[in-house]
Amino acid sequence: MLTENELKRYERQIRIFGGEGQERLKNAKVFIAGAGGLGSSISIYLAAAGIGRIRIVDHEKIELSNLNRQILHWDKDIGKKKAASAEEKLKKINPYVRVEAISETIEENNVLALVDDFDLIVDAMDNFHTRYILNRAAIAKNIPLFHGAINGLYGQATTIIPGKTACLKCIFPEPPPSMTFPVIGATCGVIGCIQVTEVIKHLVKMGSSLENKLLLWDGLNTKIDEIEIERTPSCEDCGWK
Amino acid sequence: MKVTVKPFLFIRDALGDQREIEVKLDSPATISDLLTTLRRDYGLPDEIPVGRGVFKLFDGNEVRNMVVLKNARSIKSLEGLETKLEDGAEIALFPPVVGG
Repeated sequence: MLTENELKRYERQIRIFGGEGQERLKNAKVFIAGAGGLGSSISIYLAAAGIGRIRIVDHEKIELSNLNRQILHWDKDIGKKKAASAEEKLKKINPYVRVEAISETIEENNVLALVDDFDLIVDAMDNFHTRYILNRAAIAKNIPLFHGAINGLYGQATTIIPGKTACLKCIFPEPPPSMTFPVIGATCGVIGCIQVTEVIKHLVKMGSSLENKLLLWDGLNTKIDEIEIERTPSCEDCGWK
Repeated sequence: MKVTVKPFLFIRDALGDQREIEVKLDSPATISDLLTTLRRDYGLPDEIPVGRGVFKLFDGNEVRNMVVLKNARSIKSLEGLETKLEDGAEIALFPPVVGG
């Protein structure tokens, strides 16, 4: 049940999806992989929206060069663990949310325990090695994976529903080369907010989503495109042939 | 045969900001033939300046930083550059985005 305070707090969004939708958000358990640029905007907006339980995982420490985009972390936090900084800020943004921040590296051998019984995974990673681990975990647990990635003024996002949509390995059978990517914080904001919108719609069961579509954000020319994608029957991770 | 090429992001910019390009090819043709035609006749460059850096699409004949989909599926899960094309095929070209 929502308290009187919660009804007031979420009043503007309850006008969209009703108290029932807000209850769904309150009962949801969301796993966020990464507390960097994407993880900052994703976790802030999910916490503000009233997701009941958020687990955010990141093993890195905060550096000065993170601060142009990783808005969860501030000057005073340099040298601290991103997980601890995320937990402190998210609890202040919304004390009604149960936040668990874990400072660990997501690996093949710990991912299932980390994701535990959470309802869905939000991808806020910066490399495809870990994204593939999340992709396999989502398939193994049969839970959605909300993918996002950024580079400079460009970004992409898609919503992966195991057994129904193309998975990350269908779209990218081989990892794109890793690189030190340039970026402005606002690109993380755009893509992170698209991922959050997808998560909220999924939880409150509204609208249509980026299932089997890769959204591309071209910030340089202020354009959004969608590319149709299909499952690959021979996919290493989700294939059936 | 005719195929439709849909370039995205700065690959689209490099091809004159066209959302779709119809390309005529002699049959039979593969993705490799299409890319050769795009480089030779349509100005698809080997590398594209992006910000203060350069994004390399090709290293010789090898595709470096470009995802190629044929009819919504990655050519890497088909037959790579030797993937056969048929009349009406749709080819999407876009740069991979990796960061977070």
